[in-house]
Amino acid sequence: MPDISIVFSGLADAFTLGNLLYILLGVTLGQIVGAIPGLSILMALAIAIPLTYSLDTLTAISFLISINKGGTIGGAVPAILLNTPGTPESAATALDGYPMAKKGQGGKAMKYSLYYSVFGDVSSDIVLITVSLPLAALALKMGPIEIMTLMILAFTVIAGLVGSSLVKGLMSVAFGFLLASVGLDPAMGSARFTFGFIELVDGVPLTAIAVGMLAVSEIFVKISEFVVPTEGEDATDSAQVFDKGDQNVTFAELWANRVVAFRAMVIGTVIGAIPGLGSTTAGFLSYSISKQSAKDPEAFGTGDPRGIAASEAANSAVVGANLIPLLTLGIPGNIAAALLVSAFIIHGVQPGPLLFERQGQLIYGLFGAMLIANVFNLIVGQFGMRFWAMIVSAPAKVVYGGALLLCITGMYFAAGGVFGLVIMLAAAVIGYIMRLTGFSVIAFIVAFVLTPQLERSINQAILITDGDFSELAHHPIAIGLLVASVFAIYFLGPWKKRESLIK
Amino acid sequence: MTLDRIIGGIAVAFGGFLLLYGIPANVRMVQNAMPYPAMFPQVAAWMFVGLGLIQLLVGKATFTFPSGKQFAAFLGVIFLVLIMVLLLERLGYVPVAIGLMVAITLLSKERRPLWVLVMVLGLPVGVWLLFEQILQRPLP
Amino acid sequence: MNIHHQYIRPIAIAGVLFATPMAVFAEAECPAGYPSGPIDFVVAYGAGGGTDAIARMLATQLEENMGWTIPVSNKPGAGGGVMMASLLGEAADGLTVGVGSTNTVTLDPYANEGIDFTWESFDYPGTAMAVTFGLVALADAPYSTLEEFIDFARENGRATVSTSAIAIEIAVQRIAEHYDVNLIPVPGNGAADALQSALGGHVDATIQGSQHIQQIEAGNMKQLSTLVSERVSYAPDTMTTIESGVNVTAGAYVLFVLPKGVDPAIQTCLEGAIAEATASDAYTELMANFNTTPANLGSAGAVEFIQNQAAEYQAIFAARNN
Repeated sequence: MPDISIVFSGLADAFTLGNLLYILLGVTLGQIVGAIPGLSILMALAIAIPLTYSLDTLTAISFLISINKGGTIGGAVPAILLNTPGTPESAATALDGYPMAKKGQGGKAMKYSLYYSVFGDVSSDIVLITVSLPLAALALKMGPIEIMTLMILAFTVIAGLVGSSLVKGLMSVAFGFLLASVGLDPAMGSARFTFGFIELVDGVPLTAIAVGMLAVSEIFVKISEFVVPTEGEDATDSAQVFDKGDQNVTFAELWANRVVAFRAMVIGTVIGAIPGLGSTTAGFLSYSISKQSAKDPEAFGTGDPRGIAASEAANSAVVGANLIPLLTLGIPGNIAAALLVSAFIIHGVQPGPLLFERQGQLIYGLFGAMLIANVFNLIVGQFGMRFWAMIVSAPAKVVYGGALLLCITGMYFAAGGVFGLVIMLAAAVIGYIMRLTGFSVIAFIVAFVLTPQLERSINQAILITDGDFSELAHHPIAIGLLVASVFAIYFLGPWKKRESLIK
Repeated sequence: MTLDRIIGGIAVAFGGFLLLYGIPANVRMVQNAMPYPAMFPQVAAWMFVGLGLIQLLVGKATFTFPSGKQFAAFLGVIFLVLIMVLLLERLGYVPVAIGLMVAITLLSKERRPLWVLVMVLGLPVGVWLLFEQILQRPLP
Repeated sequence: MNIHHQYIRPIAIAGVLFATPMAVFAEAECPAGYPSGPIDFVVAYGAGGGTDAIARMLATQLEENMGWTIPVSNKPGAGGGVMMASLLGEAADGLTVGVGSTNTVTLDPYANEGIDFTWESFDYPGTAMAVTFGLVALADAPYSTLEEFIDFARENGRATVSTSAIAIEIAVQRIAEHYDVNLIPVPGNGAADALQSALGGHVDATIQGSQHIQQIEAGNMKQLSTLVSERVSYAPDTMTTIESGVNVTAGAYVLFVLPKGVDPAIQTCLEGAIAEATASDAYTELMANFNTTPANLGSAGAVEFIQNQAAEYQAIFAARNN
């Protein structure tokens, strides 16, 4: 713990007027960008970094972190209101958020999402500020062997998301394995399934797949329903998500899900502290655990606030925790953190083990800014809700048309030009067909997200142990995680609450 | 024979195709080395074969499909967007985006002048302004 | 493969790497009518990264010095390969300039199938920064030099080294061949991942470009060997691989790239203008933030470096695939 005067002067730095304005601007920008399908927070950060060259260091970093924080709030908006998650991490929020909105409680769903998101974010910030050093030491213990077993645990937990048929769910997982193996293999660096396209050397772009399958395919379904209305159903002119009475959320309603939200926050913080995993993993893991451990798992997916809490508290908790390896060791945990590293370096600050010692005042200023950003997130989120409510009250044709255009334009930049767009369209068709034939799109996406990390860590583990499995005996954390996997299969597995494996 | 079983059969065939041709043709095959590049694709292929067999034998689900017209509309909209995407770099962003929105407006039978104007002009120009001017990303 | 013959080259390459980093000071002389419009800088890596920062800083300098307009865009993918491949289709009018890495043209065409370019497909008006590599281990490891590390590997039967790029894996394998010991490169997902494996004690050492410097200053790690021909300022007591008698180096430059066939007068103009920008105070300050100094080889120097390194990698992959 550094000198207390450094802590206070750092915190005081965060409260300058200019800094507050930039935090407000960053949060607002992040919420808007996060809410627009097709635009990602990474893109917002990349665009914002050159703009910060002329700012002083604390203001620049505060601004960037505020954008990141705002984005975790904004991402849930289209997932809830339109069932078109603009980012893979908010996909789990759509599972219960959209059904709730369809019941006419869109405002309520958005409030749940906002409050749990801010709860996750604040809690993980506090963990970062108070116990980052021991957590970082723990994260370092997670070597390839431990990460491999953690990935195995993640896959067993995800089994709760395979949908009604275990066999088809596993086929979706196999499809995820296959698609994730496109690109350079982690063993020899040779190209797999690239068919001569240099664009595929880095693999199939996740954003194009996720946005295509989750958002664009839904938009296409909606637009085709405008063209040929479903018989016997009134063609609704606008998305009626705000018309069922009280849209408020009481404290008692929030408190009722405290266990789910707290567990989600812990999962998000731990996943965030380990470099390389990320918020999509955290959101789905937390959702799946909450669903499978509930007494009434069938309630999930029908507009249950626990689903929103599980997803949002977890994926928001990743944002603060991701800074743990960055600030203590200089290791960026994900791409957003890597962008922050370059912003640090451009401002002459080297992230690394000496950061606290050399830049203590700056870091405590940053902590202050993060806490302020959380407050602003809550306030801006409240106003934002009215704004989004106004947007979706426009005719649905206009809303979905605009969403389509934004997805196409955003993906043009995010996924590498026309090539990425064609992949996005193909993903939309595949996603639609998978849904029609009862294959779990979610199981596929999660497998697709987790596979590269699983494959790389298996490869590394084989190289490090020389293929000798008895080496595992020297890795108690890995053994613990494997035991947990077995328990997860037994207790959380889909057979417990289902009459038969195959429906 | 339910569609579920047909899907099972397709999965078996696809897995077999991958193992016999798809993987060897597109992945570097190495002898006696661990780890090796084809490991994950092969796991996926065997999963297709095994799970497909189960599905082939016991699958029995039936599905509710949308009307043929709706499915055709779905494919039609995708086809439209595909054409737009392929023309994007040749014709420039704004004309292509306006063309697409005109098509969607016509297809979805929107008739109110104000909203037609918003869709056909407001959205393409607005999105263009957002990216080109505010975000400083050059569009074709 | 004749080992001695093949491995003499790196010495010459490394000589270029440090001898005259600021060799080019030509005043930019540009043909009339150039540029006829904005000059696009296309960065081979994502926005917000190191190469992106360099490109944007130099674009600003060029705009100030020359009065040009230089929009910067990013075309990331395939370790810079996507940008290089896209340059093949650009007009050779000097209005499109790629910013990438020497590795993309010296190594990728030989390491992978389906790469449509070689180093000879482009012209190079200069470089901006040198990347040097060091072999580092935890501070409490029972070895402090390359030789002790090799002895450790020999006693244990094997030692693991986490890596972040194919070029580094190759360097590890060549060191192992030289000493005839079992060194196992463990490929990580980027330099940070490789560093993390080493910091956690999961591998015996790692090869890093810059992220390890503060770890050394903090006393967490020590540098066993420096993989260029001259010692580095942050580890002055550590011998280079060349000093240890191993002719294995790993180095790369941030590189400017032009489509082949640009008017030589325009090339000279760009070379001069870029040299002026890399010598500017603002750019030197940015380099100081990266713990390094500007390194512009000029056009001829860049071609020489690339040609030598490409020949080296070509021979290595030819031998591997036999």
